[in-house]
Amino acid sequence: MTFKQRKINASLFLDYFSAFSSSRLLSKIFYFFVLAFFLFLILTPTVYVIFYLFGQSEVVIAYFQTQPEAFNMIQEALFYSVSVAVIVSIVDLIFGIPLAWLLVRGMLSGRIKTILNILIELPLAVPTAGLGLSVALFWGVVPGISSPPFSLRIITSALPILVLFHFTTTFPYVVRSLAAILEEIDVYLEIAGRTCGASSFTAARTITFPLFRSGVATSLILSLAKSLSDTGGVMSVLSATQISVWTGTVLIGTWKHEIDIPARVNLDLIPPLAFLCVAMIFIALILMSTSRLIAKRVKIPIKKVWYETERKLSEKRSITTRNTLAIVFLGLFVLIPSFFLILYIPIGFTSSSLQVDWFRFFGSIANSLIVSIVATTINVLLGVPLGIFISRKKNRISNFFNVLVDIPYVVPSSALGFSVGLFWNAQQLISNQLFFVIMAHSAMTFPFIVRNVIGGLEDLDLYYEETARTLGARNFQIFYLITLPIIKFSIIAGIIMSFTRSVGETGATLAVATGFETAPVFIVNLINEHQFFNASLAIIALIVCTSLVILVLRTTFGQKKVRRV
Amino acid sequence: MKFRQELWKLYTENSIKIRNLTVKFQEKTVLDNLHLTIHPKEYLVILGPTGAGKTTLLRTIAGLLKPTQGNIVIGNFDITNLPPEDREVAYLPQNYSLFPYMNVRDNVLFSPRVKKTKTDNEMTELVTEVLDMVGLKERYDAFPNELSGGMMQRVGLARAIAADTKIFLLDEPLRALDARLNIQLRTEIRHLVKDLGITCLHVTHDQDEALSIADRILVLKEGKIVQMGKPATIYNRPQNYFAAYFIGESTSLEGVIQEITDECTIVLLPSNHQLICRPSELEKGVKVKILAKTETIDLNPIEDSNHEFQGDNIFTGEVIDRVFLGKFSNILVKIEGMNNPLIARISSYDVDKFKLNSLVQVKIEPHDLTPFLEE
Repeated sequence: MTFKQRKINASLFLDYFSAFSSSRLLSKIFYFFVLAFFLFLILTPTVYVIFYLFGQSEVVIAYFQTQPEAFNMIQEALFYSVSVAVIVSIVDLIFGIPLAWLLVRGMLSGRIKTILNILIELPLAVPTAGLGLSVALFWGVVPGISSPPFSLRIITSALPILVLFHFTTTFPYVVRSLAAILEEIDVYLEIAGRTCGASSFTAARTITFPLFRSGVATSLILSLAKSLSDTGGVMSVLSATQISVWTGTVLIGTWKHEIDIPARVNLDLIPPLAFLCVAMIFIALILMSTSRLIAKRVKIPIKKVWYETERKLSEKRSITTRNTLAIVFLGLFVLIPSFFLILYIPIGFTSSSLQVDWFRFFGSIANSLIVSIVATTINVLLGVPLGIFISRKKNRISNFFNVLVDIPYVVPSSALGFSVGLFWNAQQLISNQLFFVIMAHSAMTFPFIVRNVIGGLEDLDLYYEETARTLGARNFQIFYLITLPIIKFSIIAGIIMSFTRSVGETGATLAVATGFETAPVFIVNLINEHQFFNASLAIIALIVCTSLVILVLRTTFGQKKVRRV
Repeated sequence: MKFRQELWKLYTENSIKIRNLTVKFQEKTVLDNLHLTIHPKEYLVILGPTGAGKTTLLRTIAGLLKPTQGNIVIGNFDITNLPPEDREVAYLPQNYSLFPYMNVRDNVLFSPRVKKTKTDNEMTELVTEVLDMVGLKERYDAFPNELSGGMMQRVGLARAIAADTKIFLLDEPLRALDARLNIQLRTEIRHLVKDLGITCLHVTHDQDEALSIADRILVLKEGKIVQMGKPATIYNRPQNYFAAYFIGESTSLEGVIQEITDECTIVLLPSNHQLICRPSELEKGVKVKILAKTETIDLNPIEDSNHEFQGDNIFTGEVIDRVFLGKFSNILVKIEGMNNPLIARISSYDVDKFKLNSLVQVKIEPHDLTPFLEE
């Protein structure tokens, strides 16, 4: 078949498909399928674990009565998880707001802005397990190795090291989301305020800040969700510094491991583990709704003006101090700890013996890639139509789904992973570990695609689609000729976010299937075995693989090519 | 194809009849029981203030909105439930909606391509012909973001022409253009539509635009038809206060009908002046509003005793302001006891005759004044 013929056949197929898929009944059936699939695959496991716990409540109580130390472990784990999340989120905001302000409203030259943006986003490229090791090497004391030069070695207790670690994983997200929302607030409002005589601080506080509170809520939720969720990094940092405490996600991973180890399968742990997961889910939901409520309800004084103080705060000296503090925070608490690992590599190279189990090494990377690619593909197939449904069909059902979509986002990934495992094990249909892991990753990263599609469609004027309809285009033609080319870039952004999150995820994998080694799990295992140099190599290999996939995606779809009709 | 041709035939031979058309958004009635007939090949301008329901009417005719009640019939064919893609009407929204990642050529050929109505060769001919018509033959490979507002507008029109439909729905097509281009393009659009023999519905809130291009004007207010007719009729013989107030520039006077005769209506103003107006069917004693259009008010400097006004509706007042408008100027005259100053439009050459604070004689011909009930 010649290329031309193939093209004609493809076009004929599209025509048939277009006519076929544009029928109203089919469109309804399609959306019904997507919604049902979303509910079944993504949401049911979370609900299932709650029902399971209700059914097993007596067993759980009995277990805690006979094993009080298990309950104490849960208490400790929840204490650390919650206190770390709250401290980190508040500090993130304190330094994130001035930094976002500097990025969006500061008089920076284009080049400096680009560099600052890149610096802020750099830590996102490192898997959290790698960040954990790096933070441990910089701030903490890692026994048994010669420390790299400039390492501080000052932190030896759990709470501060966990807080310091979480800055590296959450701060870039917080600044990025604050900056994105600040970008949308009209700068002229503030300028108008200043021409009426307000100092720049007063104008920002009384005019921009009240409009910015939803952004603050979003960032707070993002930061809370990220720090409650992280497993791999926490495991790495605690294991490397040999500090033994429990956090929620670490305990989930450890107990799940004990349940599944072939030598001593401990099924009694399933009900208390379900209790821990449900507790984590509820804590996450409570923290999120509280922060949303606080951001909504807290009254910002907009009428009162502290003239002298605010004038002083608006002076150049104050602004410089504020910006310097924010940049020092970024450097000292985020960038240096994130990349400190680089200084360890030459030391590790000379002092460690290179005994890499290459089969495990490449096997884990291959597993990671398979899981991420398949999970992301499922998310695209389901998420794009769901995103279109939510943003284009304005009705009660779409509003309902709009709220539901974010649930996997706030639920800690290891709790989600355990729920997915529990749910699919109960079905006894499929017992394939790879399938479980894919399902867990898919559920965890699903909101990225949907949210990006919704965001992309918000920018797309409805008039384009309507004009195309009056010009004779049918539903499917509108989708592939008008909607898709415009939201393509949002979908790619969603794919990249979903893919990188999935590649770096440890908690969900450990909680859904023991013995299935993805790259981050492999890294955590190496750190547990104190093979820091091999772990560093694996981290670098994972960064390279992820970057390559992103590069391929960007070069294939990234350029704004002109699509011929 | 057959269905399309039958539709074309219907559109070119029959009027579009809109019957009992009501559109509600939740509880809000946006179009309220409209009845109107649009003749084939007519250029109808829908005029009204913001929120009058102009765009809603256009979108309902395009099939993008379902009416709550009523129907749209062409000949004996009811198109109320026909989906927009089957209606064979070309809708051009306010921002032209040129597809941003398609160049001019692909934008123009969008409709024949999705409808599969033309071969490749026919499409090449079509694009050349249509772009030639709108004067953009050279820019076939440009992207929308490389075009000026006027060019985008022309591409939007070219795309509508290439859609080969018999009805154009243009929603404020000249809104985003500067004044000069607006005047140039409005004539071009009218000529184009007339040459192609197309029925065109053109929405605008600009009265000058409406008066200059319409065969007929439909004045809408709050979803209801205020008046429909030829531009001159709408301008000179408005049927109610809104139509009179919305079109042209005028001074509003209030008063009570004192007497009605076969020749005139006498209105008593609060200043105790009597105003002689056109005869009306209103009753004695009712409160009315009268609009004096700027160009119907004559002025005469009081020092110029050679030219003293004679007849009805002659008042004396003081010049309180002069507004230069280019070729014309507006003179604001305060008449003792009247709430609003009268605005008279004179040639700018004569402005010096009317010095600030000088006294002038004012005259308004009774046939230029129509009393309307207060709304």
